[in-house]
Amino acid sequence: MAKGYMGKLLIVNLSERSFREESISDDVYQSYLSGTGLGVYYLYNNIPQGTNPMGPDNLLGFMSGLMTGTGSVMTGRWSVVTKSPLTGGWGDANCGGNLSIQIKKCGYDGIIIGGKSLKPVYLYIQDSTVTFCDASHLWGMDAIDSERLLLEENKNKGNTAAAVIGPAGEKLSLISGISNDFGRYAARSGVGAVMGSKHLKGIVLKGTKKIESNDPKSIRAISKEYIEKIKNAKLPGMVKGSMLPIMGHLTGTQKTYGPMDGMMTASAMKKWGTIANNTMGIPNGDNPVKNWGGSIRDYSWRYYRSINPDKIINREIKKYSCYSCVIGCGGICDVKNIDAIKGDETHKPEYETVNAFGPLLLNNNLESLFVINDMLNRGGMDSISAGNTIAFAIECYENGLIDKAYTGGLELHWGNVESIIVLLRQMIAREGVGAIFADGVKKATEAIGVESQAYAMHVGGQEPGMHDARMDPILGIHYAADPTPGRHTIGGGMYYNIMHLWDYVSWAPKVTKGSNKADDYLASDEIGLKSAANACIKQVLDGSGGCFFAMASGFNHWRLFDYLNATTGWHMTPDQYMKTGRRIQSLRQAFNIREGVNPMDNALNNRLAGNPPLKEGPLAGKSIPIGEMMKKHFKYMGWDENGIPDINS
Amino acid sequence: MKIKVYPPTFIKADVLDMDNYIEIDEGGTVRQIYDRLGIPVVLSPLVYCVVNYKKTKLDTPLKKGDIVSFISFLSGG
Repeated sequence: MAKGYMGKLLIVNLSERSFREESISDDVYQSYLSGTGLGVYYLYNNIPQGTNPMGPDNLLGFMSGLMTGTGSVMTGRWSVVTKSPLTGGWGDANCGGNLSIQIKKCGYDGIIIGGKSLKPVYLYIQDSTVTFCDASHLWGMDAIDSERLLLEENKNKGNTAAAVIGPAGEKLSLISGISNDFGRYAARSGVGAVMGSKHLKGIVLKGTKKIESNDPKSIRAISKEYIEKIKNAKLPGMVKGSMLPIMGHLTGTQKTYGPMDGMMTASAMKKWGTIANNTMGIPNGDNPVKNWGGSIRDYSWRYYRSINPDKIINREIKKYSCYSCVIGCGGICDVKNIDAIKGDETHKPEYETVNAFGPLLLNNNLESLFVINDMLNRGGMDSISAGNTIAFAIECYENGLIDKAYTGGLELHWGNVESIIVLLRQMIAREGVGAIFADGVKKATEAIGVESQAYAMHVGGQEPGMHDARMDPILGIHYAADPTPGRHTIGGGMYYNIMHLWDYVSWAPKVTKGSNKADDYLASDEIGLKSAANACIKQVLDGSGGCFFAMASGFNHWRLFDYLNATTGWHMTPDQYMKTGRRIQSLRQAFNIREGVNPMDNALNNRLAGNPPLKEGPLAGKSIPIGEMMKKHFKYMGWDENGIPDINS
Repeated sequence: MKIKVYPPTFIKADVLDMDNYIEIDEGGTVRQIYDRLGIPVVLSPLVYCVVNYKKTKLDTPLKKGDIVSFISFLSGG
C-alpha cells in the first residue's frame, strides 16, 4: 500500500445499527485520490439511481483528505458527500476545522452513513468501534451547544472532534449544513438536511491510529519552506482596512492583468481573513449588491464603511486556524456586549456571510451581522443560500408579489434589519412565513409563483456565492458548469492567474503580463482551457484535503504535486494528477446525468449573466455568453457539447 | 541582469516583459525597481515589497534570479 491514506472506509447503517469496514484497493486511490474523489467513487457505485435524497438509501459520507495528518500544511479540509436534496444531483460540501484528522486517526479515509434511525442518534466512533448513542436530549438544541455537550459527554476520552447539525438540519431545510469546531460549516448542497433526514444529530470521533507517509523528510522540507514564507508575509501596520476600497477600485479599473504572486495575498488573509473583501469588492463589482441587481450606487461608501474589516477585527480576541493551517484566516471575536448573542465569543463572520446579509440586502448594521452570523452558526443554515433567499423575499415584497399579510406582518424592505432577523429565525425554525423560504430560492418560487422567478438568484437550485460572474466570467462558468452549481470555490479568472498552474501542467494556458481583461468575456478556447484546468485541480485539491487559500497562494509556493508524491510514493507528473482531477470531475458530472440533471439547465439566469447588463456601477455594460462558455468548458473537460462525459473513456 | 517582478496590481508596469522580468544593471537595488515601475519611494511603507519573500530595504542590492514582489490583493472568501 502506498502511504498517506488509511486504505478503508467505515460503513454505517443507521437502520440496522450495524457497521463494517470496507477495504479500498490502491488503484482506486491512485485513480480518485481520497476526499471528494473517493467519495464520488463510492457513492456513484452504491447509491441506487433515482434514490430519494431524504430517504434511507441515500448515503452521507464524511471524507478526510489524502494528505491530512502527514506533516503537510494547509491540508486539514474534510468533505461531506451525498446526493443533494437541493439540486437533485451530486452534492458535496467542503469544510475546515478539526474533524478531518480524527477521521483518519480512527483508521479511515471516510465514514459512509446509510439508512435512517427511528430516533435521534449520534455516533461515537473510537478507532474502529462504533457506538450508537441516544441523541434525544440534543434534538432541538443549536449546533454550538450540541457540539459542546457532545464533547463534554465524552470528555474523558481525550482529543475528540465532533460534527453536528442544528435545528435547520433537523427540520430538513434544504439549505442547512453541518458544523464542526463550533461554527465551521460544510454548508452547501443541503448536506445538513440529509443528516437530519437520517435522525443523525452528530458524529463524535476519537482516534489513535498513526498516519504514515512515504517520504516524511521531503514533506517536512516542503512545509518548512512554505511556513517560512507565510511567516514573512506581513502587511505593514500602515495598511488599514479603510484603504481596501481604493485597492479594489484600482484593480477593478485595470484593463489588463498578468500573473500574480499568491504569497503576497497571504498577508491580507493573515490580517483580516476573508473579510478583506468586504469593502474591496464593492468598488470593483465583485460583491453582489441588492439581490444582484444593484451596485456601489446603491451601497455607497456611506453604507460600506460600516463593514470595514478593521471594525470587525476590533472584536477579534484571538486568531483561529483549522487543523494544519499556517495562515489562520479565522478569528474568535468578543461579543459580550451584544445582548442578542448567546455566550461571550463567536467565530469571526466570514466575507460570504457579511456580504450575503450586508450589501446583498442593503443592510449596513454591523452589529446585526454578528447576530446573524451567530444565528446561522447555531441554527445550522448556509449563509450564502439564506442571504440570497432573503434578498429574493425582499425583492418579491418590494414588487408586490407578497405582502404584509403573506409575511405575517414582516415589512420586508431593503435594509430592514429587524425584519431580516425575524425572517431568518423563522426560516431556521421552519415557522410562519419562514417555512416558505426555509428551502432556498428555487423552492420558494414554487410557492410564490412564476412571476417571482425573475428575482430568484440560483443556479440549478443552489444559490450562488458572493462573487459576481459579470466581474469574473470564468467564475461564472464554474457557477454554471460544475456538477454542484453556484459554487464560488471551484475557481475563477483571478485564481487562475495566481496559481501558476502553467508552470507545471503542459496544457494549462500561460498567463502573461498585459493579458486583455476584455478577452475573458469571450467564449474562447483559452477560456475553456483555463476553466477546465480550474475544475481539474480543484478535484485534486479536494481529494488531498487541501485548502483553497493554500492553492490561492500559488503552486510555486504550496507545492501540491510534490506533496502528493512525497506522501504516496507514486511519482506521478502534474499532468497525471490533472487527469485524476478530470476523472473525479467527470464522475461527479456522470452522477448528475444519471440522476436526470440536464447540465445546460444550469446556465446562469439573465440577471446573473448580465442580460441585460447593469446600467450603473463597475459592472455597467458587462454580460457574459454563458451558454457558449459552458460548451467550451465541456469541450476541454472532454465531455460532449451538452456536458455529458464518457466515464469509460 | 534579469529580475522577476510581481508589481502591485494597480501598476501598469510597461517596463516588464511578458513574463514579468526587468533588466537592471549589476548591483542594482530595490530602489531602482521602484523607479523603473514609477512607484514613488514615499509610498514604500504602503506598497510592501519583499525580495525572495523576505523583508528588504530600498538599498538592498539585487542579484540575478531574485524575485521582487509587491503587495497584491485577491477577491475571495
